[in-house]
Amino acid sequence: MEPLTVTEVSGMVKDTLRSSPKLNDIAVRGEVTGYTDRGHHYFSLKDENSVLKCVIWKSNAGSVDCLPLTDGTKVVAWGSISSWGGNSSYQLDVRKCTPEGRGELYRQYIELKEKLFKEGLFAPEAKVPIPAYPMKLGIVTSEKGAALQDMAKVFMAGPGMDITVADARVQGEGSADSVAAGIMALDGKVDLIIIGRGGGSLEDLWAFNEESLARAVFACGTPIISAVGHEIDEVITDLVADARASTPTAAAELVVKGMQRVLDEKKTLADSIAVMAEGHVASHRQALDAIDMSMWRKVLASRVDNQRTTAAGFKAELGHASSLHMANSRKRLDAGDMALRATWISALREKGMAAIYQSGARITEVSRLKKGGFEAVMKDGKVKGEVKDIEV
Amino acid sequence: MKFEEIMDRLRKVNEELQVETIPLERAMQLYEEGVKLSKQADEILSKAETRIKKLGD
Repeated sequence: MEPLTVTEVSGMVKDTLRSSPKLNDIAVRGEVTGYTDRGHHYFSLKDENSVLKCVIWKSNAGSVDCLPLTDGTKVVAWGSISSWGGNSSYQLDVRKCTPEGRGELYRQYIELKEKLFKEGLFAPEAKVPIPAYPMKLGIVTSEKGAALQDMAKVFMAGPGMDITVADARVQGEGSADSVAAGIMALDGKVDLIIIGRGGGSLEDLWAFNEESLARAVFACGTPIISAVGHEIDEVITDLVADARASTPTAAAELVVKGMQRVLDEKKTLADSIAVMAEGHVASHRQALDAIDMSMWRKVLASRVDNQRTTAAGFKAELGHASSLHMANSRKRLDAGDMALRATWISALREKGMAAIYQSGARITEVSRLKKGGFEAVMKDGKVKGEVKDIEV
Repeated sequence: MKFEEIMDRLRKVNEELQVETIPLERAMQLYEEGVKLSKQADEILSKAETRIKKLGD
């Protein structure tokens, strides 16, 4: 018999392993030992008698939930036995790996997560923006639970809103359907819905990992925040909902803080509008002062005065602006350079800046100047001069 | 108008007022509108009181 080469034997072992149905798509239970992360993740699984080399290729690592592994933990690894011919050794190519003990529920959770992800239920483009100022809020939770009390505390201290609670079972048989029914009852009647409950074990929280509830959240047209206190990374509704919070309290705080930001913005806008209007009146007044036609000045100035009086009147009505000095208002306008510009111009004028006019029109760029006479208006008077050279 | 619509309009009014070259008439118009909007918003907010009720009640 002609002797085989080492490579030939290696290849035959490799082919045999690859084609054996008994060694493909298997689940192996064992304890992790010798784990290293070198881009690819290498480790072994052992039991009392044997050790099995395992690898999670870098390309698979993204879909394996339990990385990094810790030596000593017991896991169930799914994969296929393969051989790398170079050293005639074999190993388990791991595609999925879950800590043992979480057992069947955990496996269902992982499988549903994969399934719904593929269907696009977690896609960012399917998410509806959370309204910044929901006047009507719906909450789906147990009316006896601590979660509702925790949220109520936050909401009672926040801006006014109309809250409707749909009582639901959040644990045990029928709880997923109960929460789903609450969502459907509130959909379209409120601006935002929070679903949630306090923390618990994977079993306690199971309703929020059920497919029927996940689909009800996805189908709901009203924005939903999922707020389930939990130990594991996330529940399925966290992924399907439009936003998530780590606890019901955190969800309530998210909403209230968002509303507070809108109220602050409203104040800033009202102040800015008053300041800007004042700036327009002031700059037009200065423009009028420069026109050397006394009749027009009289007519127009009185018009500006009227408008200024109106402006002052309205300003008084503006709750936020009335009690503030202009300087004070300005300080609050950290909203932007734009808002500061008009006031900046008057400040410069205070410091001696002049406005240039030709034929009664204000010139703000050298390129628009023409040779000949001009007027420069400063805070306390004006001078006449002549443009001789223009350099742009 | 809803509160969020009022806020959107207030943002636009403020934005247009930032333009230095708008006529005085327009500035005054915008100012008046801003004051009105601000009042409307305050009215809505002052009516809103936090109430928690059960669905169906």
